[in-house]
Amino acid sequence: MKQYSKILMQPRWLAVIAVALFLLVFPFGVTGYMLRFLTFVFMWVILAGSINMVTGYTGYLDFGHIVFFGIGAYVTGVLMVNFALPFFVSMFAGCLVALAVGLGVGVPSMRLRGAYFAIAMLAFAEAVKQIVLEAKSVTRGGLGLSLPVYADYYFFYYVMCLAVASTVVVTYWIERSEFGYALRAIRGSEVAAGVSGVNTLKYKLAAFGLSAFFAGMAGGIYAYWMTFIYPSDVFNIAMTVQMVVMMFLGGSGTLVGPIIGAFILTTISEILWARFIYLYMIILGIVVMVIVLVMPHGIVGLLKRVRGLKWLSSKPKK
Amino acid sequence: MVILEAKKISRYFGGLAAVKDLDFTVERDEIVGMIGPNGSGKTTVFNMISGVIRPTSGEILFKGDAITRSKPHEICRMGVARTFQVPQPFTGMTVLENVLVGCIYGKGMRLVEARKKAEDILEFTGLGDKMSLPSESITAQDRKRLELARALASDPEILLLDEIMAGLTPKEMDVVLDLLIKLNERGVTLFVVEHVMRAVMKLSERIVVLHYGEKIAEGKPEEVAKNEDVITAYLGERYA
Repeated sequence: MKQYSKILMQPRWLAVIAVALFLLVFPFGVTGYMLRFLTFVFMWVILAGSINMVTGYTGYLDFGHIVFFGIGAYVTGVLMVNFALPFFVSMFAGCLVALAVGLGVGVPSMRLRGAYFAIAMLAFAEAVKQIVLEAKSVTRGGLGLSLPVYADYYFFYYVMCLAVASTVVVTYWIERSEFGYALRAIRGSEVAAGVSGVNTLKYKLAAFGLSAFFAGMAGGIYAYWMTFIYPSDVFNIAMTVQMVVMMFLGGSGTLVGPIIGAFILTTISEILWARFIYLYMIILGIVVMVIVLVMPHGIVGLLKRVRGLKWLSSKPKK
Repeated sequence: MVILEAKKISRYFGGLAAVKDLDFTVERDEIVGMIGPNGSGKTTVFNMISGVIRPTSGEILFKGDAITRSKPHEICRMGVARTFQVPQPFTGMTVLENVLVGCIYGKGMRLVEARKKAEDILEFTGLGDKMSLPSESITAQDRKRLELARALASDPEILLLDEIMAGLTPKEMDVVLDLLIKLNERGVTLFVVEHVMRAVMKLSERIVVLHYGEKIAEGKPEEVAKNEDVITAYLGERYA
């Protein structure tokens, strides 16, 4: 017990506790708009965090990641509407279906590398969208699906907050565990990882499955929150692009990178969208180019470099 | 006792035979060299042994068991380790972390136990003071050392070294030669692809010569050096 209290007194953990407490009391005393906005930010943190698990750590750029969000949303919706199942049961089922689909599509698609994997996943996401559109008897197709209305914004705030927490905990585990070493080895050199004893297919599939699970979770919560979903909304390619940008902006393959990226980009988007609705995508494009050119390792990489430089200059070089 | 054996292995890329009906054996504790002009199939042989590519036909045995259809990670865990001619560090990881991967997955250690072992290996290979550097920032020579260090992480019984000396100065080469001889004394069998003749002649007890994917000679270093076919393959007809 004494040990635990000692660990919790470390600055890092004190900061975590402070943030948790702040998020817990935040909803009281802010406007409904702020509450909704922060819930949205949380959703993007989950999405950027989930794609980070596969793309950030193993280097497999998943350009169809939105498919798992859409699957999570539709499974949740269909189970709640057609089978009258409770929300949490439906959402969890959505996560599991997303996971299963991830593993299923990963077996063939993860044999491809680089751009080919990205293209295969992009095509897969579009194909699933078409299937959802055509399966009218279950999904109501292009008409969209109306879920039972539950208009308690506090509820969605806290549920989304919990989902963020679980994403962060899993990412933290990846960072610290042997599992993370396998993923980063695959990103560094897949061939060398294999001959060093890493079962590359198993580990990259596991990362893919995990990332699909969390994207599905975000989709499930989104569906119930919005109460209305339709295929071109929850299978929107532009959302994949946003996730990717957020991850790279913050720093891919890091714990806090996707969180920072999601916060910054969602805030910028909110401002730009309100003021320059037509210039929005252009400005977003410029942001992407600047990231790639100026800080390939994202904000986290930039901070590390700045800190590294300071550290270097304070120590005389040999 | 034979530790590694290839039985009539061939590998075709399209219509081209990179390796054709190749037979060889490596005895336990032996140091065997494999030489041959550029494009003679040496790296292809290593790729087949380590499971990176499969032979089109033929069989590879490790301690009597067929590994022809095994996955790279399975072959690694059985006790076969290799280095790459063009170093393939795990970029984005430190030098120490590179070796930790081998300890964890090649040897089956937990992260906490692996650290000590990885540090020992890095000391042994002369990278002790570079452990915490990002692996993409070290020099070409150090990358070669890192290849060796990472291969040692799984405690291999046989080590396949793909041009580990290339690009080293004679002095650095002697350091690596000493390392390899020390390893061999500890009971690691070495199978060495090398272009640097001085090194391969000094190190090897037996040499296999490849030309256009076929074995054209085999024997003691001095025998091979005098072999007419070998001289022709390297220097052309006039010198034979």
